[in-house]
Amino acid sequence: MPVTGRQCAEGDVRPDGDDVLAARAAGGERRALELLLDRHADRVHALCRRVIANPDDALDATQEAMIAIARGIGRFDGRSAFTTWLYRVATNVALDELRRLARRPRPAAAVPDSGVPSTIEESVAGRVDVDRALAELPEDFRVAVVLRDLCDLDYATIAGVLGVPDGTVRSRIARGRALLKDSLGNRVTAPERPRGDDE
Amino acid sequence: MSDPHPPTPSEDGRDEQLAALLEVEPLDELTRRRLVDTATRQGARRSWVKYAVAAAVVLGLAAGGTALLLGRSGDHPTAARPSVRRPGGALAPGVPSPFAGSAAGAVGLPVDLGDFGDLSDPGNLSRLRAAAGAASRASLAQRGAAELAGPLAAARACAHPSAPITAVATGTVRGRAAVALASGVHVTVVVLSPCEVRSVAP
Repeated sequence: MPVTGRQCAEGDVRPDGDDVLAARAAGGERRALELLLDRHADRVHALCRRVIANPDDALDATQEAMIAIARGIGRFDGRSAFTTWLYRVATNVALDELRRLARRPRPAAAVPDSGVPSTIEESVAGRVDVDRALAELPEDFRVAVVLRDLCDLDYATIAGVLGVPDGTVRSRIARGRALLKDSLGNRVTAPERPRGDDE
Repeated sequence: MSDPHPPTPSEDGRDEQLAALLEVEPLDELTRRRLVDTATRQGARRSWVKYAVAAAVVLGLAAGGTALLLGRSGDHPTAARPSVRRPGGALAPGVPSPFAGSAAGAVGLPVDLGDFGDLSDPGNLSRLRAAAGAASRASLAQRGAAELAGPLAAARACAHPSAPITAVATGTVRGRAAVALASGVHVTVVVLSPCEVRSVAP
């Protein structure tokens, strides 16, 4: 089953909930850290996969993000939900990786080009389209749309993760969605053009 | 900054159509296990390094204090002697620590070049080689010798370097902790756990 953000448990304080496990992991309990990382590995990967179009680079970024989470868990103070903190760390790592990759000359196109052989199944072509459309999206818009529509975070949480005002988040999401729909063409219904941007 | 056109309630919600397109297949069990294990190990390693650093600092201060006291007594020939390390970076018992004397730190210990991030990145490697070259020509300040003791020992045990190590740097290779050992301008990148040695052409 593909990953969606719907299972994100904000402020979960069950005995095996995120916040309890995070506190135990911060205290040095390795098993708690393991459980937390295992529970959220798919979400971290999904975020990295959609921010960084290349699957291999996304997997590397996922590893870096999980290491950053493991190393930084001691600094998680519980003031925000664990998932908010986790998405913040993962987003920063993914963006760092994206910028690093942008500086590095690539031997081949990182994102598959439009020359998809006709023998490849429609679903594969669809994934290629999405990867390419996301890659064409400005970084700020891409991250905002991914956090909203893939991770299902609300605007306030995204604003906290990205460190920008709510209005900026709304604007980025509206413009990102419109550009994405334009780019994907008939895969989605015609976009409603955004009416402005506050940046 | 303000939004001149606040979105309608429907724009506020999740776009289910895009959400469906953005969905990502979950990781396979093996990959997930590998990611979790590596991250957990790295997290634990960091804790271990902290304890090792603390222990090394205490040991260094204790040895330094002892050496200082013996030096003040004026009858101990080892007080001003440079530090000696066993292969693997451990302090040899009965000799002053690298923190003990002014001459120490410049003798027998590789120069710490700092953290160079991703050691598989050609740019980082290039900077590392340049820094290693500079370190072999000039005496740089010794930083964090105690902090490096653990990783350095692990890297030496893995790589068994034949030439004397003049400088050392830390970083990662595909998310795994790595130590770069420099002998002059020749750099060897050692990936820790599991042990993997990568020679970097000068």
